Amino acid sequence: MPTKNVTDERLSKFKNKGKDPAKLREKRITECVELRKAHKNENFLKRRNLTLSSLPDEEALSPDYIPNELVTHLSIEDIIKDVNSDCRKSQTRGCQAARKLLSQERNPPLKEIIDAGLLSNFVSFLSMDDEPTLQFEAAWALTNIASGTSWHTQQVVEHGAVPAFISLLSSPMLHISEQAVWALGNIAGDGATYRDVLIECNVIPALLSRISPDTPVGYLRNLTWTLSNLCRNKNPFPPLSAVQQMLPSLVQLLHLSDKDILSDACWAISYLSDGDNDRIEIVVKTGIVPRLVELMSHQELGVMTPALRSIGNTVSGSDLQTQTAIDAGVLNVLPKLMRHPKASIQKEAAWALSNIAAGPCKQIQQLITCGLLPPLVHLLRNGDFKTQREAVWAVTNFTSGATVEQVVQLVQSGALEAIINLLQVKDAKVILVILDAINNIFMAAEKLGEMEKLSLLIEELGGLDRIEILQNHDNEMVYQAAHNIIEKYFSDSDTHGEKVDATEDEFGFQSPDVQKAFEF
Amino acid sequence: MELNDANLQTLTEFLRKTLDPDPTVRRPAEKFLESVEGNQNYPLLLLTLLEKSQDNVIRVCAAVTFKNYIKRNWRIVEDEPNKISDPDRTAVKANIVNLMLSSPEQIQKQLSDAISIIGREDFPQKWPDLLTEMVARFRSGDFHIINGVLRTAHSLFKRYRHEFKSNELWSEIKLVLDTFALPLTELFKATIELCQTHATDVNALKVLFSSLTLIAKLFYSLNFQDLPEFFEDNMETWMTNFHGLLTLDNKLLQTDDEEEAGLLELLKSQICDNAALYAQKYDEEFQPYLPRFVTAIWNLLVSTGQEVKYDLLVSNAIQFLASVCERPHYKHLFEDQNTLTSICEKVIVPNMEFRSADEEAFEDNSEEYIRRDLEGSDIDTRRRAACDLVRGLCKFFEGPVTAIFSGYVNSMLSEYAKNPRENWKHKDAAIYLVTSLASKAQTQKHGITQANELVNLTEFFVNHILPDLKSPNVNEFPVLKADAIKYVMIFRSQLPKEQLLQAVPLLITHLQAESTVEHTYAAHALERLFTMRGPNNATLITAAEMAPFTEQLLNNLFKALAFPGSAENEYIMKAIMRSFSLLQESIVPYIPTLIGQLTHKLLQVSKNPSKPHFNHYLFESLCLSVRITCKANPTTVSSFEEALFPVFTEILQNDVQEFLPYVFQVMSLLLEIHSNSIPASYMALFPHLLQPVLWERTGNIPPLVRLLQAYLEKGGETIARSAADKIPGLLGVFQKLIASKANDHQGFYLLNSIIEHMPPESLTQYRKQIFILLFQRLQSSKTTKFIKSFLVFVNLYCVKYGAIALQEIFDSIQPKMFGMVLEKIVIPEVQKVSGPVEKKICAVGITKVLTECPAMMDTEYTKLWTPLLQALIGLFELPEDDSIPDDEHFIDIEDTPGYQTAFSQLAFAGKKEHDPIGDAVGNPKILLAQSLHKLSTACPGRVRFHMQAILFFFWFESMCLDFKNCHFRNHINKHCTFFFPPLCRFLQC
Repeated sequence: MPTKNVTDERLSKFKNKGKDPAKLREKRITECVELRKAHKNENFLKRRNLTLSSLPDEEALSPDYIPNELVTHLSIEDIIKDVNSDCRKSQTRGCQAARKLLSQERNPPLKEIIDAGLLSNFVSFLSMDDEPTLQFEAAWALTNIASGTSWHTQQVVEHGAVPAFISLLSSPMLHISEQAVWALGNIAGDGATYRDVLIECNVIPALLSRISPDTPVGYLRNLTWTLSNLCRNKNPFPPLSAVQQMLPSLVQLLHLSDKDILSDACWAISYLSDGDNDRIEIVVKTGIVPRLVELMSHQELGVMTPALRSIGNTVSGSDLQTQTAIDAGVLNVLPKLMRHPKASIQKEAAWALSNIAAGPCKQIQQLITCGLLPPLVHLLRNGDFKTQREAVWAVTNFTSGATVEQVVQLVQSGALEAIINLLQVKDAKVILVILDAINNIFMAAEKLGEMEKLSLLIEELGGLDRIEILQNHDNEMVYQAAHNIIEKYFSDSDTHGEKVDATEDEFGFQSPDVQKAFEF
Repeated sequence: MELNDANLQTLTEFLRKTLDPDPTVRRPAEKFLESVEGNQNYPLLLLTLLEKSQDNVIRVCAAVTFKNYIKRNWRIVEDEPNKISDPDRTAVKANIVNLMLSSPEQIQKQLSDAISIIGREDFPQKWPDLLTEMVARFRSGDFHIINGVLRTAHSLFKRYRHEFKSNELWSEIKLVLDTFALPLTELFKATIELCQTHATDVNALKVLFSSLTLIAKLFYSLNFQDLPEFFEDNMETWMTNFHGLLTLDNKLLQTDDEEEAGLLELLKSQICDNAALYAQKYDEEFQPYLPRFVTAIWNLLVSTGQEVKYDLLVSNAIQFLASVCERPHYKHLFEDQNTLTSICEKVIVPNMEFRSADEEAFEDNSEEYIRRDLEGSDIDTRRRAACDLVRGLCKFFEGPVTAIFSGYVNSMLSEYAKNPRENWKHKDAAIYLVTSLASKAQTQKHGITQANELVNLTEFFVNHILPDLKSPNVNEFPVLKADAIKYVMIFRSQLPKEQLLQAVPLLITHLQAESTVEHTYAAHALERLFTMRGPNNATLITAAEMAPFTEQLLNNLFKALAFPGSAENEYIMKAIMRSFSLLQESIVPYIPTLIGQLTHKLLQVSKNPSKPHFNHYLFESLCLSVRITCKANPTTVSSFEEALFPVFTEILQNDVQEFLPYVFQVMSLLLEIHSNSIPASYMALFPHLLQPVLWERTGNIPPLVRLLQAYLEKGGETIARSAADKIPGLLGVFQKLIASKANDHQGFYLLNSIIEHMPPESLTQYRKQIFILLFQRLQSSKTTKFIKSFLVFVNLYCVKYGAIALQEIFDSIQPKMFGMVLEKIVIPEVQKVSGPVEKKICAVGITKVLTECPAMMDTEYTKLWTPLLQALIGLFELPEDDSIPDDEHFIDIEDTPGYQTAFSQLAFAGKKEHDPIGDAVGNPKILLAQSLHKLSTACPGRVRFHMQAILFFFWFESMCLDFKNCHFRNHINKHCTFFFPPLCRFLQC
């Protein structure tokens, strides 16, 4: 009585057992070394003030004000002389000339101004509430210096500008307060260290107190941007208390309609949600997820991108957090984004989808029901490489958690054919992930007793050839994975014997004395 | 080891000895060197020798020895001693780059390899100045040195092409880019300028072009993981120059060699790869350059000749076009009718032509030709690349491409028609073109499974394939004949049956062709046609339809084996096997001749088995002859034994290891045909089958177990009577097998046969020991497979010897053992038992334990009664495995579950499933019901048992509703009503 199917017992066990679902989700937590140019999509870390933005009209009428065209281009030496003089008017003139130099389009002389030792003067001007013009020009100059490299920013901070700017926030002159907002934004944008220095100095309450129904839009734009920089950067993340302080206002800002405010507020949320599940939870708890999903359809790329990123982060969290996004309708929005003309949007959407696909089969079912498979296959076929990579992850995650029926639907949607075509990509990891998916699909086929059908299908699609070629891949793991698939599903396996002592003619039949009691 | 002349002298002596052809001189010298390599200064001595020795042979030998030494010892393995002292490590790193660069090429290569091995471990952290040192040499202006640096850099960086992204890897790449990318770019520009300066100096050009090739390779490695910022900023420089090089043709660099690729080809090939990398991964950034590259590569293809040396370049170039044309946003580059026509005409068609190299292979190296043409080992060939391009273009332009090619096919066919003798290659290309155009999906098993609907395959068959097949002279235009046969073979699923039937006799005729490829294809095509399925899962072509051709088919197949070069042709042998299987009893009249021919073949190949597939099909054919003949008349088995045993004896005596598993299977088949008694000739062999040496080879185990099972089935009594002294040896085999996780199931097969067929008294003295062995294995390493087999055995034992005997033997080994096995093994695991026979054995065995074992009624085992019954019900309720195994006729060697070099299971030696219980119990559920009923009447006082029994009846009744013919239902109903009317009412509502 031959017992069939004695081999590979483990295949009949549930495929997802032992796999940590959290590992399937690709997070951005690890800080990665980049070879590429810095991201083009993200908003600016620091900004220089080149033109007058929200300068009130009356300012032009102020006695101290010297129209642009009348400011003679002073040399640095003259500026030094003016700024160091005791005469307010000269100081103002020097300061303004410096600001002009620093606002020129190309190669502003940041270092020269610093080397000239003017920073301490500028910082001291900041506290001259009775000289609003001087105050303003100094703030502007410092803003532009702080917009340079880390070293430049450091000089500004080390000259004690932080407390001075924070107290300027409450200036009754809106444009001066706004300039302080801007300068602080540049300092916060430098990195986690200065961000936390600002937070320590209680910048947040001072900023938030400026938000009111009457705050002009231009001011709010700058303020939102500064807030976003205060949310930015990991290692470490901003302190939880600070996040809790900012979130209600950010939620409020997200309900405005100005696209710049929306964009920066969304970026802020995207930074806050870009972390472990606890960080995500804080964002989810505000109830902002539905609004973010809504903003994913915003016509402005600048809003859509960070909204998508925020939701992408949310669905990289726990199943429950992911469910919040699903309940908010993310699955209805994604198909459109996956067919968006911009490759970067396609990629982000595919990334989000890959994390939803890493969820339990109930969520996978929602993904199918909402018609996500056709756009996914479309991206596998037509996306650019980075998008294809995310789409491949989506397929593999899907096959790890899906029911047998769901895997069948995936295969029928054309995903198998598409990933097989991608086996020729020049990226070892992607290939390995595809082989993983193929393995998972085989496990589903085994449960259905359709192994042979699947083997033939893969051969027809040219997959067998490709997997065979991969047995020559230089990457050990790829080679091994390809080899295993060929061994397991396209040929037969070996068995190995063990040795037992024996004589020349026959084996002895004897059992050693029972040493201890049997206990099974 | 001091760094002195004496030591250098000694080392020289020993190095010289390692080159000695005489192993008695060479081996001790190698041993000596290994014994001293742990000493300090050893690597430095080698480096000194390779630099300063007067003898060039010693220099090279020292270099090779050095590299191997580094390879073995440089890596520091955790928890193992550091095998090279730190001063040596430092000294090696300080000198090796200089040494490498100043050495002649032979030594340079060895040192370059050594550097990359060291670099893999030490670079960048422990060897920070390596790169700067190398980069500094770019300025030397000496291209011998520069190429040394480039080669070393290439061996250091090429791993970037296949390793996974990681922070560590990317930090390294970033560091490399920071130091290396700019100097490399400057070097690239300078080298190109130098190429222009030295445009007429062939020797200078050769050096410069090898530099350029290395630079292009480095570019590929450095750009592989992601697009580095530096290369994005300098894309213009690189791509413009790459483009220029692609279009460059310097007559001086052309080689006369037809086979070996020249420098220009290697460089262009690498540039194609670079462009393909950018097109695939950095599409957005590369877009502005792509159209230029498409044009350049396409012009390159148009102007490149047919010589073999261009093959790699051409196939790389075509693959580039193939990958680009499938991408939606580039389809506009191809969609112009003139472009398409030009690609078809100038790129695809020329590369599909039959070349003189193909012709040579067709005639002189048919095995290689077949492997490429039939089995798809043609990955890098031009034809394959051209096919891929056709497929790529068809994604968006199936209609236009098909139309363009139809024109070409027609014109090529009319060229052929004008003068077949001169122009037969045109027809070959036409057929190839049609094939590649029509086939959209293909498998070995079914041929083309999806075809281009725009190609009329049937019409082409009738007009262009059939005439070649029908041509009376099978030896004329063998390539076209082979093409025609292949056409039938691969389009078999697409052609209507009547055309296939038309082709069959023609294919049979072609078995007589002298060309190896042609008659091999004919055999293969027939074999494939015979495995096609028709309605009802039967074969498409029936034995009746083959009747008129049977004799000629068999004749021609065996005649084809007589052609020189086809004596061990696996395709022909497979066709023989498949023909036997298809024709079944119609081969019986020919068997006497056939078996003679087959045994003769067997005798020949057993002298030196070299073609495993051929041999496998030969044995399959033998099995088929036996089965088909003996099915009609079992007494003929002895004539087979007469014919086969002499050869088998020879194989056994000469210990032809490859054939033993086959011989055992054929012998099993023969022995199983005998009715009841076992012939003396078999008994004489019995002791030999127990020899440990046979069992040490894994491949022998399954067939030997099966053979022993056949011995037991036919001769259990005889063994007990006349070979009782062999019983320990037999059980020894069982013990050996049971010890192995891989083979324990085989051990159980054997044990089950022993229990089933040996007279009980012959085993009495061994029984306890058998169980102890099983318990020990259960204790030490229990696996699911073992438990399943164990459960089947225990229940078989219970069926055979009774439940009481089972309980007693368990409890005699250790008190309460029976209960422990029931509780820990039987009850929790029995539902894992699979297979209808296995489940039946368990069901009957457990039923006996439940109803025939007094210990279950009134000892502490009683508490196990209910769980055991539940486990049994669970076993019944498991879904039946209703998958029907594939008809063996269709089985391929690749599908046979046991096929491997060691054990080659013969499909046609197949054994019927054996049911040791047989008709004694038809339906085990009914047995259970009856037994419970009996129990409940026998022990009326035990209400609990009634309760259980009745509950069971209810469950069983619901099962019975499914059975139409169940007298039993009434019986049960009566019973239940009688015992428990209230319960019945309750359950009915």
